[in-house]
Amino acid sequence: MIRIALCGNPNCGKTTLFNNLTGARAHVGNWPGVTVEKREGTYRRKKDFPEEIQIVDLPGIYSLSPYTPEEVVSRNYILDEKPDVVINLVDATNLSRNLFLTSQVLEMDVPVVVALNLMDVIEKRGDEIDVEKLSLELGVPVIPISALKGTNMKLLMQTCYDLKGTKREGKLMLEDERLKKAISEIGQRCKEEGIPSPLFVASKMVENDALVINKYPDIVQNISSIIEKDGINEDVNRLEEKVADDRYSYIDDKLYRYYKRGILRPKRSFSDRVDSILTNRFLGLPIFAVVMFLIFCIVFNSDFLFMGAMGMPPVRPFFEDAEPGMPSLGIVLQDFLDWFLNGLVLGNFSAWLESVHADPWFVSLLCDGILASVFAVITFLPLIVLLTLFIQLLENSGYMARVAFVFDRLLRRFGISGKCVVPLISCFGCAVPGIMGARTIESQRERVMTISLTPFFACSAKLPIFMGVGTAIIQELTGGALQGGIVAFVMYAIGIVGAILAGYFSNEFILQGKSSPFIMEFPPYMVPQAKATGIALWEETKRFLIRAGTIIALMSALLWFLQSFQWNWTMVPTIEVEIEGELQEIGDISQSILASIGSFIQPIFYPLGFAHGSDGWKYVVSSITGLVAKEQVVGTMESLDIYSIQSAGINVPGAFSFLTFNLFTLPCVAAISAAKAELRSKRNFRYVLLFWIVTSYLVSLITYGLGSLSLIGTSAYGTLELVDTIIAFVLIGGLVLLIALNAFSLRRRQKPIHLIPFVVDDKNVAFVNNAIDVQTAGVATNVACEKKGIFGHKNHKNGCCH
Amino acid sequence: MLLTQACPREELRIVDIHTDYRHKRHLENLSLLKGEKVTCLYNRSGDVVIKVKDGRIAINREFACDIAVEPLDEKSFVWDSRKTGFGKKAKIVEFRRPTEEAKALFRKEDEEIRLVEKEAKRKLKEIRKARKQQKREEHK
Repeated sequence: MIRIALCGNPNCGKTTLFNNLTGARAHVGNWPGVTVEKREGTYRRKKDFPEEIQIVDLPGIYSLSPYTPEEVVSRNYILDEKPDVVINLVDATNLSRNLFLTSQVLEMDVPVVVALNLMDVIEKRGDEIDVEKLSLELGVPVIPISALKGTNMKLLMQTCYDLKGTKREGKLMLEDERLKKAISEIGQRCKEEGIPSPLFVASKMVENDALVINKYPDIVQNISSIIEKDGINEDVNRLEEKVADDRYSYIDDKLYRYYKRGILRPKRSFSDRVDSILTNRFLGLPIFAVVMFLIFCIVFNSDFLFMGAMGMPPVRPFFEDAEPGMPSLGIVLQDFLDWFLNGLVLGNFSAWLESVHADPWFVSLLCDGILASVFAVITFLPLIVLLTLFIQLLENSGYMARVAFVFDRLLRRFGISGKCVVPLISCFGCAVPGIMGARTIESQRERVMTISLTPFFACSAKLPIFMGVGTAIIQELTGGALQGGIVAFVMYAIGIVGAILAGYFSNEFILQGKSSPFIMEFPPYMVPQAKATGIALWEETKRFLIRAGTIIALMSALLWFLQSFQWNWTMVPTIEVEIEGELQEIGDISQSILASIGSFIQPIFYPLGFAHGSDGWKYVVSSITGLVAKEQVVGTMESLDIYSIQSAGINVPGAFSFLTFNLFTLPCVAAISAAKAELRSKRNFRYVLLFWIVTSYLVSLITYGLGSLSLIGTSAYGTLELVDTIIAFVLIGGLVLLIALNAFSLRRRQKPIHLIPFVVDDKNVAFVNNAIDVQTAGVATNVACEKKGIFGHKNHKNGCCH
Repeated sequence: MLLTQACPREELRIVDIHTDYRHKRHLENLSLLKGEKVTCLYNRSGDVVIKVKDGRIAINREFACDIAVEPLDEKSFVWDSRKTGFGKKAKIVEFRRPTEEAKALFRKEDEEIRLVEKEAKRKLKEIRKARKQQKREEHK
């Protein structure tokens, strides 16, 4: 078996190539940092080669000196696991920056093939790259490919196959002869010590790379003498800058000349022009808000674009509701699926079971227990698929990186950098990739904060809860004044606002610190690939259906058992209930095992407003089963028959409180375990768990307390509501007071954390702590400032304020 | 001057980067290092997007403050100042802006670019047509 590793800059198309070579369906997107974990697959055309070829997709890296945690994965794999061949994928549209990584990969003693990706774009632009000469200069094969269109795939694999088992000595790509000599000398010493890839280790030592220096402390001691001997009179601490500079000058002088720009290449590209609108100071945020609103409108608004409210006559396929306006696409599909599954399939199936005289308990288990809840969950499939489609379009077009930039300034006030926005937006799809994506954030503090905020960006599995409760309970209770779609939209908005506030408080009081700098590469805009989007949709559908068929079916069977039996293992007695004008016999679930368990936990949730009343325990049980999978909440509600008896106990504020609790509380087990894996420390994990529980409890308490103000004067406003309202006001008042105090005290103890740069004249900048601290700042700076006379000088241009 | 003061379309050279080792390494990896020529694409009150080599990189204000640059095109851009804030907090912020002649030049350039792009699209269509025809003939 041959192992081939794919390495390259972020967003240069490694995963697209991986998918193309292996036939896998890994997630791709047009922003740097989509892949955060290595991924393995086998070459799909097995007949081409006698041996099996294993391909490993690695997270993108800018260089072999890691900056963020996911970059460590790539470096360690190439160095420690020793793949047979390394394919260095190079984005041909950004050749010289990508060759910087190539220059480091070539230093290692491993067979390398350079694949020039995006050659179709190069051709389209009319540019030319002399591949043969580039290959001669680099000393390794260079293959022009297009990962998207799949050109030259076989040639690439053939070249890799031919290189299998060959030995390659590392090559230095530096221009400065003295530096080259010094590194070769250190490399020779490393070779004598038997260190693998000696040249690479030597150059990293000169670059002051902490990982290498800690690994081989003995050799490091001799470095400075060798460097001095070779006549490099640079400060040792600045050597890494010199090496990087030298690499770039080598690339620009020796390699970049094989790249010929076409005549038709405009100076200001399409992406630049679009950027100036989308990242505009004033338009950036509103454009994003409009985009999100449109997405939510298309996905789940039962009155599409509020056209009904503006006087459009009713147009309702599949449903004879005479509501004005037109439902959105998601709602139409959902109605259709509901009619098909619940009306046609379930009705006929139970009729058939009764006609063959099946045992009543079996009919009850299958129809009322498993199928009812599984179907209740599956009806939400169209909404989830549509939501995934739009998130995919956002990701693949390249807009996500711009959103991060636009949000950076706003989020900085809450102690988070704009980079956190990208994983948080993918949380609208599913929290697990969102939590994994937090790995691209370099600061530990922000990573913990981002992970703690992930549930607040409601994942697609929470959409059924909002829509279900919104349509069946809130819409019914308010007599249609509050539609399900609007409830869902309000919940999403509450989630985002809650996330910002929660982020602010944890930044101010718990995880104090300064947000890390924002440096991010903007990918060029691209038309989203139909194939990648299709794959993502299919994967989401599959995941959802498998979940519904396995976990949710099992949970429903278990719940059916718990709700149909008493503690003495006999079935619950039946009672006669009037349903739709007919008397029917159904089991009295209030005497079941589930009811007694639910009633035991119920008191904890009394203050939240949805747990009191005779049916309160059902809401409690639903929320708790949501831990297994959030879709299960709707499944449980269906099997406990909450919808048909909504009048008992619950009121509108209570329903909203139930929704907020489910929105903010612990996510599903999969997300919790992903968070545990990503957080790595027990202390952080415990903090995040506590954060989720406390926030959800407090926020839904506040929701109920404030919401119940609308009940004043009715019999529903009792002592509990009064206490809740008081607590809500106390909490809000306390928080506002805290913010005010904090802002006040902050202003008094404000100190510059960074150095303030003073522009002395157009060309020189001196960095000093502040004007008063100038004496205590470095002597050199002091002298420089005094020489230029910056104190009170009218010429000094203080370009920024911290 | 600082990178925060750069004007869109202005060409600059990096003079100094004053930040800690880790971030400096990251900037080097992104090919932002002393002596590198960059073009400012967009300046959003200090948050800048710059073009380095063939990549676009967004840098926020706090970090852009740590990068000192020198303007390469002295003719087209001039210094200007603006008062921000009120009362004690009021401060004079100096920034670069293009001269009127430069603005006219840019407008002309943009128009040319549009023409060039149109031309390029037309040519691409022709090439594609020719390729399709070739394929058809080959099939025959």
